[in-house]
Amino acid sequence: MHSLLYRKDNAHEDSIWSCAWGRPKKKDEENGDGEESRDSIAAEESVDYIVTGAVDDFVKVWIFKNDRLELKHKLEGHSLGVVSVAINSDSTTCASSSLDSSLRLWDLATGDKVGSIEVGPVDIWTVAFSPDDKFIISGSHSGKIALYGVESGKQEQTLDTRGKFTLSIAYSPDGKYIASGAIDGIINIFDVASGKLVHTLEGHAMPIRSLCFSPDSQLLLTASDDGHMKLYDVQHANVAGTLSGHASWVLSVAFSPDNQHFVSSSSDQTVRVWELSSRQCIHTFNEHTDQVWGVKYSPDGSKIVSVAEDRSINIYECQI
Amino acid sequence: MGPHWRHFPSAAIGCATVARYSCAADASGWREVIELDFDQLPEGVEVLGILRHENAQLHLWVSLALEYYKQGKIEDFIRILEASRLDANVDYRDYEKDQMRALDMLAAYYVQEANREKNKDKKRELFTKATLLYTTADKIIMYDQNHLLGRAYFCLLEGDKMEQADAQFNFVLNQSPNNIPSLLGKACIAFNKKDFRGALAFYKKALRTNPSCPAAVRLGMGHCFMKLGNQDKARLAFERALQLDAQCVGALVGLAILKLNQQQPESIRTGVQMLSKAYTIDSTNPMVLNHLANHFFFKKDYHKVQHLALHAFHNTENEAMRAESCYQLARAFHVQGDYDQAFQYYYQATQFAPAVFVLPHFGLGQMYIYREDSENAAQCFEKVLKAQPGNYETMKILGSLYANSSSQSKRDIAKSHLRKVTEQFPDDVEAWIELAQILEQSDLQGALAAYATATRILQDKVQADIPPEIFNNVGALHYRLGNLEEAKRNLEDSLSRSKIEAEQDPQYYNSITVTTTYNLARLNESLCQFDRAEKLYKDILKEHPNYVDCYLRLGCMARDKGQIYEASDWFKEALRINNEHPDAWSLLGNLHLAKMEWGPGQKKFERVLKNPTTSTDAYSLIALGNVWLQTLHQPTRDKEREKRHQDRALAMYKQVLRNDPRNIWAANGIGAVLAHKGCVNEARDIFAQVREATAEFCDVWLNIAHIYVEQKQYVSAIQMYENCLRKFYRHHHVEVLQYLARAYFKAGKLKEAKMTLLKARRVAPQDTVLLYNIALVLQRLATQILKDEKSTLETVLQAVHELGLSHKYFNYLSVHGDRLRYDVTLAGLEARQCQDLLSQAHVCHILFLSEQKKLEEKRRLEIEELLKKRQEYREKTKNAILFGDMPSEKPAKKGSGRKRAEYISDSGASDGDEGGSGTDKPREKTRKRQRSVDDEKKRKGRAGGVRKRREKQRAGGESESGEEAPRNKRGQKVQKEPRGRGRKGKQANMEDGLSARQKSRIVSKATISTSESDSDSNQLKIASG
Repeated sequence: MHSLLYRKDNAHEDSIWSCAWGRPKKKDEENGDGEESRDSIAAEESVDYIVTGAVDDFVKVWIFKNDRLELKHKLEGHSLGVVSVAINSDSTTCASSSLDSSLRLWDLATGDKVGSIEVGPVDIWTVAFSPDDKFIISGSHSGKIALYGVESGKQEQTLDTRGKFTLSIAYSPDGKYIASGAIDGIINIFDVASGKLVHTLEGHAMPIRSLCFSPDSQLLLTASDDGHMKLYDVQHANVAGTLSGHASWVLSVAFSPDNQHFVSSSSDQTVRVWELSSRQCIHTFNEHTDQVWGVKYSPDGSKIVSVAEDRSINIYECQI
Repeated sequence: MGPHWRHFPSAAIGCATVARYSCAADASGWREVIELDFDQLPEGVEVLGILRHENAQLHLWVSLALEYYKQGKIEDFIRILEASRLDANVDYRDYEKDQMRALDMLAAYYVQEANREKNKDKKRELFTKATLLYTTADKIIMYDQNHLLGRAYFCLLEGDKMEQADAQFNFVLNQSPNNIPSLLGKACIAFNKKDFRGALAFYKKALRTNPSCPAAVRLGMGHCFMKLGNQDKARLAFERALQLDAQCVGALVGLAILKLNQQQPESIRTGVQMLSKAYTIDSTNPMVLNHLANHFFFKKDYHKVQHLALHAFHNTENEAMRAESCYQLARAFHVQGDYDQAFQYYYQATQFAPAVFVLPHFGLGQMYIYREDSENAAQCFEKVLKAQPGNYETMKILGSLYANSSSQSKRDIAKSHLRKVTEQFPDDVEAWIELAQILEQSDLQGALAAYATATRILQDKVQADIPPEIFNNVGALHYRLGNLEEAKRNLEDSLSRSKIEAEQDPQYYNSITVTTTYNLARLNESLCQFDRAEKLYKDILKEHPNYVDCYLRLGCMARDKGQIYEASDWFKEALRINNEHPDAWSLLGNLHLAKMEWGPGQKKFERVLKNPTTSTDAYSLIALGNVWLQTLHQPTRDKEREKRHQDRALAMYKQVLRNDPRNIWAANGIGAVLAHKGCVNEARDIFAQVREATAEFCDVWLNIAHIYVEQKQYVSAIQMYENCLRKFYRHHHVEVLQYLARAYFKAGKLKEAKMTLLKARRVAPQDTVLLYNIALVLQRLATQILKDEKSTLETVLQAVHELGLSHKYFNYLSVHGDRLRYDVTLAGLEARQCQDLLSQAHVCHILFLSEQKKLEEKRRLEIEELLKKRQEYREKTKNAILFGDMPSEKPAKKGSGRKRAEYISDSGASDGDEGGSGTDKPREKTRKRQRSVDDEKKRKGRAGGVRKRREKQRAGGESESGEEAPRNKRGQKVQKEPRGRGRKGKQANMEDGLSARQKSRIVSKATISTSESDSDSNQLKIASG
């Protein structure tokens, strides 16, 4: 049950570098506590936001409804290409970062810029929200990981990997860990509460362009230019699996909310869906004609979005 | 390769029988006739003494002698006849006739003895005696019929006087047309001339003349019928001969052969009984002995075969008979596995054998195959094929022999032989397989089709299981055709078949399993199932720790994952197994080169070349050439040294080309050196040729593009770089993107340059050279936009913003830049330049305005003002744009930064209505920057050059090179050392770019951009990192 559901060609003027998928709670609950309400959203009322960032400097907010994408906002302000976008847990705010080392926050509903963080010329790369939405984390050239306060707009804490350029970053859903992947293949896991580095994983020797935790925070999935992905047991730092199959760099990985599957995208132009239990690829999408930079699951795990160098956005059906 | 034993085809046995026939006829045919001659003489009983005493008349002597002869008392016979010449009474009428008789009889006896004699000297002695006697007789009665007949037989026996004999028989027949001995002699001559009808006619005439003539005539007729293919009449003739003479060995043998050829158990038994009877009659008859040997061969009683054949050999002078005996002996040794003895006897047999008897050549060819002397083997089989054109067994073997030949024409012969065989015998599975194997070299689809046919025959007609080798080879073919899934299916089938077969023959089928497993592992690599490939390699190593290829592949996989140390360990492990393994050394060398450890890398390749067996190893030579070429990327003022290194690189490449004129990597290297020397046109021609030879060689695309840049053909260069990226790289390749950006930059396409650089930075954000170049392009782009009167406010605002970014980056780089790769102080200067630009353009004001967007009216005015200012600014800063330009063809320079002045020129002065100070300052700055940029370029050039030496290495391209495809396993002919083949150069793999090695990618890229020798002339390159 894997199929291409919808394809948006020429969604940007040039390569699309990043994407995110969010689903806000219902209108009447908008002011309530976001975290518990996510599951209660009735399917027919849900509005799915897909945010994309491209080398054309735009962040675009799309609404995915009736199996179609509609452009809602075209957000200006970035320079030199939007390298990363992230949506907070209640899908009210979007964070985006660009090569000019600027970080911006946007209101998804209105499209207004609600904040921006300017830092040193090379101090921001990819971004992620903390599970409580209070922080945005980002890696940097020096290997340091910065935690920026969403409210304050200031850098509030720093974790130092003492390593090389941090390309990728992930916050565990349970809020305990931050993992980072560096240009030299080294992966670091920090305990957030203590601020201490708990594990350094040396399984890859080539850049880690993406990593993510499983929904239960037990596993860390890493993607590398060596064409492989690895699964690590977060607590013990054991390799729980090595996954071969991509013919080039693995650019992006994402776990399914069902904790049973994950998806990967690669320079080999494919998107692959994997089954956690068997560690096998169960489906390969060959729908893009160039490198696939980003891939994400929908919040209910029934769909996947991918964005690529070919300027298109693909939405796939993946009911299991 | 095991012994190439094949059972003789039944057709060939028939042919051997026929060969035996012809010798049977000339051996026995006229010996009987001579006896016949004696039989007609009268009888008498006396002794020599009495004869002398009685002064007996000569005719009595003669008669007596004859009687002694008949009783087997040969000495007495000779003594009497010799004595008769002096002592006999010849005082009677017509005594001459008896003289003639005595002389002729004794002569005939000597002829017969001579015929039996094996010793050549004794033989000649006997012939001499006979000649003397006949000559004496000639003087008495020249034209005596019996004398003439005796002489005629003498001529026949001497072998080469057939015509003379024929003339004498004719003479006799003229006088007495029904002279039986003459008729029989003529028959014999006709038979030997293969005029079987003529021979038969003479025999019939003799028979009509004397219906009661002896068995020999019937025997002769039998042979003729045999030759004429009339087996029934032949049988009748033989039977009649036997009735006449139950002891007639020739007839017994003839009948026996007829029986044997019926091929029925019953008839074979009868035939053998007849042969046995013949043997009891004459245990020395070579024909009988040979036939019995032949019989016991099929009875597998090889001891008896040896005994009989050897006996036969010693009982005949006839070469054809001896050939037969040797052949029987050889065959017996052959089947018993004593190939040395078999070889000797086959060889002897070929020396004796008449042209039509080709079986010994066949056997000898097999022995040569066993000795792995395919040259001589092929010659043997060629002889067989010449004698029997279209013999399909032979064509098959020749096909198989030539299939592995290094000569293309031989391989073509092989192909055509095998094609013919499959056309003649479309059900010959073996031939289809052989054909498939040879087509593997040239026609993958054809090979697949041939295998498919073989498979179909096996399944449908033979109803046999498909051998695992076929599955393996079909899998390998699919692999080479890129049908990876199909390949996988076949390889897996092969494995499961091998598993079943291994129950019967574990050793052989386990070895096939290993090969197939290796192939499957290679396939999994191609399918990017690296985890599975790794497991398979390690599985093989568990059982076969000496399987070097597995270590190498594991090393290559580790290397491709960036695990350099692990890779190094694997390669060293391979060297532990085979310390001279050139691939392992090369791979290690490449690891060093990839880490820019030139010295250690160089040593590894030199080690390969020091080994006498790999002293002309093309790969190592080219790698070393590349190392020297590499040093040219480091700017130096030492002209001598530079020239030395150019020459060394050139020498390496040339050496390769001497051995293999079509080596594209060597050619490319020469092109690169030429480019370094400034011979751009010559280099371009070489690159064009290499590009024509193959489209699969990335570096030559780049080199061509570099040349385009050098020649300012930017559009072509850009196209070339873009095609190269598309064709060779799935991911963003930073180095090539930098080249592309540089071409865009030089072409004045700053926006494209910017986008290209951003894409590079997306994947290599840590690279500060990229950052530097981005900053540079942003600055240049902003400058351009600000100068452009048509620019909209929006673009102006963006340009100003980006100018700010550029400023920020340069400031950052001036502090944190990579000092090893460029001059960071330069970044500081650039930063100040940005600052100047910003202030001169009243950027603050603009920014202010932009924040006051509501004041639309005012804004417009402001813009006008801005544009005016910008105009002024543009005039002032015109020069800035130039600094990115490359001083391509620079004449001799003085080595100072000054030379750049012409680029900066005096534009400031000419346009400068703003006053000297304003123009001077930027000019000065520009000039300084210019120089610094040069220095920066130098360093970048070095770093860039280093990177250019792609660490792709040999394994990089292995999937494209056929040789790396799973290797084939031939049925019996297991190629244990797949690598060995290519290594020995048998396949001339380098020709088509398919090195036998794991990796054939040899990179010798010219770096045109840094080709200018003088360091100061090193151009500003926007992106050479």
